[in-house]
Amino acid sequence: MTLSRSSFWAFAWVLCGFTQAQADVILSEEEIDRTLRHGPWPPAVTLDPSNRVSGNANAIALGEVLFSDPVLSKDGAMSCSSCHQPGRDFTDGVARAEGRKTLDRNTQALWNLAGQRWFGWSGDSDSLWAQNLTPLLNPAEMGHDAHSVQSAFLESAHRPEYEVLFGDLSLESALETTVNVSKVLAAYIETLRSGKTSFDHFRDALAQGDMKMAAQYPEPAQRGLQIFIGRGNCAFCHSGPAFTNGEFHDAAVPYLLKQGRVDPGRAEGIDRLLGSPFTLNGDFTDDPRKSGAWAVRNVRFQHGNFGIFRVPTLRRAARTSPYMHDGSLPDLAAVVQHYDKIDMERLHSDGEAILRPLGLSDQDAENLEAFLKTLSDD
Amino acid sequence: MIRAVVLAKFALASGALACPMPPDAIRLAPDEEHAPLAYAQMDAPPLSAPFAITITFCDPARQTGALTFDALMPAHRHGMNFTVDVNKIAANRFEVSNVVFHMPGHWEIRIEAEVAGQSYTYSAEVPLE
Repeated sequence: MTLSRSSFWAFAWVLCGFTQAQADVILSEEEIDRTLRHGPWPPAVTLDPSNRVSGNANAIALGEVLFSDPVLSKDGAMSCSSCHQPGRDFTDGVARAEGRKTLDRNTQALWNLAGQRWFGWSGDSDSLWAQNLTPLLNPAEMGHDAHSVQSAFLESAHRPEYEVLFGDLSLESALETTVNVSKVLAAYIETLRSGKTSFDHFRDALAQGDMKMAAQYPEPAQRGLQIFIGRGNCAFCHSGPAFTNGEFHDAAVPYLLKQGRVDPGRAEGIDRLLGSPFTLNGDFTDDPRKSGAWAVRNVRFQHGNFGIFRVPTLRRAARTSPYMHDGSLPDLAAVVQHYDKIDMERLHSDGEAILRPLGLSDQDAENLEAFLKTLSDD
Repeated sequence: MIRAVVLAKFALASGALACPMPPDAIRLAPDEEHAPLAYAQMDAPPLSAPFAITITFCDPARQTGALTFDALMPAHRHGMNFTVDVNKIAANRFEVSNVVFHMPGHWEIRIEAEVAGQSYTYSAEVPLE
């Protein structure tokens, strides 16, 4: 085969252009393959079969109103949005949540909770609606009990909307009303989904083989991504499109509390889960097939559960400082440094062997932080 | 005729012809050489989601009784966060459900089976990308 002179130059231009664009994507084929596993985003919307008002427009609207209504606290002093502030990505910006007293853990953001297996730092609940009962009934938070929730709603301006969804409130037990309120809140919270970030555009371009488009993703972020999916071992736990495996790991964060107490983390979470009547295996689920109940039936209590916490999603994480279950790390740079210089003495001696000091240079740390920020720029 | 008899004896001794291992199956390595041939079949394991594994033992002359299953990541020094459900679905065949590999990497499955009153341990490596 021979090329004419014009065809040769056209071919050469395309080849050079392609090579130039490819040169700007610094990932190896294996790294591209690993990157693709963090998408696509967003995931398909799925309804919660355990919540009969999941996806119901009236429930979502009522849930959004209730989220910021102090009727959900027994004395009308606070609402969900007192800690999960919508203007702060549903966090509060402080290390540990301020309820009626300072709580033991950091306020988690509420993004992308639909479809998770466990909820809360220690996975006390296996559904979003069950998780909502925790602050509602906790004396240190909203402080309600089942009867006070029902009394509040009998007198509330929200009663008509509530009865459209669930029928005559006065004919329900107090516990039914309380669970129904938590399901309305869940219907709203599960609509909180983060959008596509610059990482997702990069990942989609790689999936389509569009190297020119992919090359627009900044090189520092690409180098940070290489650390994330490579020697940093971050993607072992922060896996998949949501950047979490939804399970529990030891991150070498102290679980001793100042008052001489300890935070048992997942160990306590399993105890609470197994003692709760509000699981997917219980009587309050609306799913007759009890799909998803296998997890609570089969969850395994292990010695290593003590002091470990649920792996949080990294999507929008750059907006939700401070970090870790106790809010002890003020910013992303501190998180990177924590894992870079990880204190091996703080890890379970007989626990999993995943973390080790990373030996990052200052530039590596900046690159890793640059990558993490591209998960939050939607 | 003699050749057929020899082949038949070989088949009975090895279990290979009596129970051919499907090409997509994973052979389970026994801890004893006299353990019956056994293999596992599964779809590509999903990350951090439940899936099922079928375990088959190939010696029709020896009945398999109880079976226990576990899995771990030797390099990470941890196992699964869930117990599994084991059901006997046919003679010498079991379905292990609600297996959850919650991290990518190399998992090792470990099976203990009671075959004709004798306990055997098997293992196999299962990679998860």
